[in-house]
Amino acid sequence: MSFLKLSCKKATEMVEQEKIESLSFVDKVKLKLHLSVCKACQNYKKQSLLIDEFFSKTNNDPETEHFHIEENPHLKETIIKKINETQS
Amino acid sequence: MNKNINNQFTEWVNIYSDILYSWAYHKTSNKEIAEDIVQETFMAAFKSLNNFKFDSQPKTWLFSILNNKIIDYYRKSAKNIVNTTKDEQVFMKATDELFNSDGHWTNTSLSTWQDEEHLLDNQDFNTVLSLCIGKLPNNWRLAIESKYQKDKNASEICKELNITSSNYWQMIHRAKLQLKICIEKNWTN
Repeated sequence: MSFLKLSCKKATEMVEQEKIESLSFVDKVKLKLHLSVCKACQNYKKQSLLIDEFFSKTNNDPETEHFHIEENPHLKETIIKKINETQS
Repeated sequence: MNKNINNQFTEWVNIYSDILYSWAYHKTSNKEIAEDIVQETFMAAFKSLNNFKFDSQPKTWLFSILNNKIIDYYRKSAKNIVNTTKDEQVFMKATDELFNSDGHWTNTSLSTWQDEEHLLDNQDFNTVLSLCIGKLPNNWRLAIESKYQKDKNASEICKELNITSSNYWQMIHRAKLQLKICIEKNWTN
């Protein structure tokens, strides 16, 4: 059975690989086996999914993503000046 | 150009430049870049005012221009990634330390995030996660952010980032591990 053994580092890497390209049959079995016995990697998989969800939920949408609003009066002035310059 | 429209546009700058700037800064973690991108956005908007339908939301319109500019910036900076950067090396060390030489988790005590089911409804958690994403080394961030861009598949992203597919998921893996470290350090329920 040792050929089916997988380290946690490799297993968590394969969790990400699987989302991007398909795994070979052997790799699929290896990963499945590993996840079935390894709590820490199951946990990683869940957390990875949660991060995915966060990204797809916010998906570059300023309405849903949390970010800090900062005032930048200098920038405001610069832009208005530039616009007026293009006018004259 | 009609003076009224000109005034209208100046008003948009007054109303929206702060939020556009904050968003650009949030996405690029670089003040100068964010300022440049917002300037370019308004200039581009001004030039194409004819295309704007005045019954639609100026904010949505400006944000769509801005987001395109941000993606352009990602593309441009991805081309400059040749070797591993210094900040990346520091983070690589941190993520390596999560595993021992056999590749098993060093810290065997399970680090679960409490209340996992509802975490994304938790504003504090979202704030921490956003901050942690902002702290990622630039190219990990590029890799992970572009993964969730609409209409984009992995091979296109790899091409843009100039990396192989295995490099790509390894980068995502490292980025996720780093987010895990950062969340566990900064978020306590």
